[in-house]
Amino acid sequence: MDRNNPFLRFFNEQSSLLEHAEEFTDGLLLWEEAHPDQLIINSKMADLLGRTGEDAGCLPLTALYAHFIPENEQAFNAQTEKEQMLGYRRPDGNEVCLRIRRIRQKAGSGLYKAQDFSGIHGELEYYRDLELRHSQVLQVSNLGTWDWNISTGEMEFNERWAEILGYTLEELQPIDSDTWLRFVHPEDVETSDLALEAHIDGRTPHYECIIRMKHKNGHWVWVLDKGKIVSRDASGKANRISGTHQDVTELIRQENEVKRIKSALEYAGRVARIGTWELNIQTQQVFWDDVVRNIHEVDEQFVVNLDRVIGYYEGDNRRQIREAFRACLEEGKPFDEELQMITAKGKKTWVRKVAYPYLINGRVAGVSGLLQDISPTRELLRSLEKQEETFRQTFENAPNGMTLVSLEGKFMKVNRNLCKMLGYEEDELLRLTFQDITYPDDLEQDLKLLNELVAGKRDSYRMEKRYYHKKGQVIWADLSVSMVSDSDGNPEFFISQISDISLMKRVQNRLKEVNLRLQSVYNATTELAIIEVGADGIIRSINRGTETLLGYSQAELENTVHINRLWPTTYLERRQRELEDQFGESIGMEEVLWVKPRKGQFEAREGVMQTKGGLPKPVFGTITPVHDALRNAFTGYLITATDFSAMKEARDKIEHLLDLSQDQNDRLMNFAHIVSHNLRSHAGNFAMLIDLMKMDVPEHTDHHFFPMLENSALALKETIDHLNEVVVMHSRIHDHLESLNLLEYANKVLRSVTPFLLEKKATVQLDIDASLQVHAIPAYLTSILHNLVSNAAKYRKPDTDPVITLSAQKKGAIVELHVADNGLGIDMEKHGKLLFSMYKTFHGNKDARGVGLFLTKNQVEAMGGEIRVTSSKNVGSTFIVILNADKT
Amino acid sequence: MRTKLDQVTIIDDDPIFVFGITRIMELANFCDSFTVFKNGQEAIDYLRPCFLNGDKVPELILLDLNMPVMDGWQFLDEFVRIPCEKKVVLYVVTSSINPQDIKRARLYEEVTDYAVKPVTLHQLKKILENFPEEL
Repeated sequence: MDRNNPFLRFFNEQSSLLEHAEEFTDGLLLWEEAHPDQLIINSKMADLLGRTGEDAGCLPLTALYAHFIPENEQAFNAQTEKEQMLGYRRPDGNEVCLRIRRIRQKAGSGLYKAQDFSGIHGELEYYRDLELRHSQVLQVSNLGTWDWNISTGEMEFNERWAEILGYTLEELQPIDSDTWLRFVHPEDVETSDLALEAHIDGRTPHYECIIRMKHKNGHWVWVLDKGKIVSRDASGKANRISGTHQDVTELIRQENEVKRIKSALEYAGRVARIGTWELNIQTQQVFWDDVVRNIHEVDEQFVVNLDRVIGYYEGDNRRQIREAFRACLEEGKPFDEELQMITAKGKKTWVRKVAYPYLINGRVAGVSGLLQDISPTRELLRSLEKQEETFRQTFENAPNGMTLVSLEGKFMKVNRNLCKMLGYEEDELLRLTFQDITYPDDLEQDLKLLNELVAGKRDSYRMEKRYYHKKGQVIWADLSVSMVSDSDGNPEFFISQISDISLMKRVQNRLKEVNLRLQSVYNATTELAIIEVGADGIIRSINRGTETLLGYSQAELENTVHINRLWPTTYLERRQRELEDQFGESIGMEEVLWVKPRKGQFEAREGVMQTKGGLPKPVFGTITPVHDALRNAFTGYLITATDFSAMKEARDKIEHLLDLSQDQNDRLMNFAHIVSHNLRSHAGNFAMLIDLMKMDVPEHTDHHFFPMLENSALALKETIDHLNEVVVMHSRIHDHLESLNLLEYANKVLRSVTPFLLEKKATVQLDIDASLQVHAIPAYLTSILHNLVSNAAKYRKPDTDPVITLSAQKKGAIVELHVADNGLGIDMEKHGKLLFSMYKTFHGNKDARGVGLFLTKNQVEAMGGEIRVTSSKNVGSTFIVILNADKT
Repeated sequence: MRTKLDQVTIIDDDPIFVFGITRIMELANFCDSFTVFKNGQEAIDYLRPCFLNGDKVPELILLDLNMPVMDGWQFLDEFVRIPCEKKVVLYVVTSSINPQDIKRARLYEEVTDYAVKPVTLHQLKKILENFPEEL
């Protein structure tokens, strides 16, 4: 049996205990290094051994043989302190059993004491001692004992012997040599008999076999049965055998387990190139099979131990395996590690190292394991991982929505964009199916395509469909679906890509709408000719408006006729010359119509087209280049034209009217000139002559006609002055408007009318902020203020002193000036409409000059302002003048 | 202050105005003598040689604007081209109260002022008061 066999090791432990027997001094032996092959013995020793003669005191080592302990192959060990049981055959043929123990030791030599263990006395002595120790050991080690006297047939068991079989010793009484036979497995009787025979015959140093015995509960207990002849009769025939029973059921089970694992490993190793290894704890030697050697790249001669094994790993891997072995050997922990190792040839490779320690009595008895080269697997795994990661990244970061959908339609995995598109959180979406959120009208088509996919009729499909957003609105999406099948071709799940095309759809619909509308406009328009022209100048299409305008039918023009046909040649030639002058380059007839639009200048002009009958047709038309944004190219032109005949007529009429008005205007100006100069000079002469008369012929001025003449002359002059001012106003509008301080001008005017105001006993209240600036003509502003203030004083109530209030307020971009009085007031019902007309007076006042308010109104309006009045008779009037505030 | 002017020239086509103004001048003892021209052409024809030859020239010219043959503006354009060191006081005397005429008249350095007809005794006195001492 192999030395590593656990049963054997157990036996060794037993034997080491035997070495501690007590000593009996019978003789002395001396061993010296100088003569390592012999012992020097004293006379007592020589007597004991029956040695006589010259060399009685010198005993060759070879004469001593191992007596009890078969493992003591070297008969005498000079180096051990332990006692040694040795046999010696005396010259008379009797065997002497010696117990030898070292009692002294010096450098190079040792002194040994020997006891005679021969004979009944000695042996009994030995075994009493042995039994004493044994019983202690047996209690600890759970050994059952038996003692069989062959000659008498008596048999003795201890309590443990019975216990192994589930009985008490008492239950087994009476005990004899047949008791054993009652329990032993019939198949094992022969095994036992053969082993016993071999021992008794001296062929084996001891009796040993494994037998099955019936437990009280009915199951079989595996028992290691050992024994040895302890006494022989004078003829050397064995008459007594002692032995032990050990319950090895568990060990057998373990052994079977190990065998099972071993065979499994061997199988695995063959299939998956997994090698097995085994560590012998005692020798630290490691066994490698061919596969392991192959992985390490060493040949079969290479001798391995644990340190060497660890030496194949470096850095962290070495620390990892060292720790794994430590835990395995010290704590019995199996391990299974993936490690990187470096082979004997320096190649890096990944291995999986599995260790499985087996225990005996709680101690690690050895380690079996396996080693697998997993580099290919690992590389495969890594590339799979990479693919998986790539897919995950692609999936998660895809610009469109992506999802894995189960065969039932359940969302198994969704990416961020899909969640965003549909408005769901990821976990919400994962609880739904695509059917849940598909717009009902689109579901049927989707499912139909999906089924075709499952049925293998197509590899993938793509459709435009609608989903419901979480908030309820409809999302238009472009869906692409493909199917993933397992290695057997069974459908596993779907991969869908979903792009939001809602915006595109909206634009598309809008385009359709606009297109439809344009088309209907195009078709329905009869007043406007719309002509589509290709880049080659050929008419592509015309609308009904064109037919109406020029008298052609669609069939006559479309796709055949050059656009130039629609214009009179003379007109085109004139345009050609004009354009050549304008751009300073020569222009072909074909291009005449395009030159400006093609230069990006929108062409909208009056022109003359030509009807089918060859008649000129005045039109107002536009030519617009049609630009294809996608291709960045001109694709043609769009021409619109309206019949300009009626409009031209109307315009001619208006121009005629304008001429007429201009003429009349000129005559008015002439009239104004006559008024301003000729009439005035005559009136001036009147006045001068009257003055002269007063100086030259004072006696003629006494006549009562004279003052009347003088008054008439004055009045005439004044009237002409007023008339003149009205006429001249027109030309003054060109005067510059300036930023004027209203308060300053009010004060100036008030100063100039002070004498007049004093005369009228008028008081003035001024409420104008000094910061107010108005946009006005200085002379006009003065005139307006002057007029309003003097009017206010002039039209006083006879019995009331006038109170005049000037106030002003800025309201946004305008300034509102109020001139209020407590005078006569104006009957608005009667005079309101005529208040600001020329030559109207309303009070019969002798100072009244109707032209005043007319002028004021004209001046205010000339400056872009307005004037109005509120008034009630006998209460007073308020004139409100609105002027533009200064813009700066 | 000057109390009486030496010679005055009146250029005006209106005989009534001429009658009136000369009579007032006589009554007011305004000047020693005056010459009258019916239009610009007559006036420039007479005055140009006088200025060029250094003959006696008027101290004051009263110029009407609206006249036949050559109007006041045309006269002014001719007059300013006569090279002459002697300064002449020139009043535009007209019925026109057109601001554009007034503005235009002011553009001529040679035009002292603008008077609106009818000319009164009071106005003549003002002219005398404002008359420069040395010409």
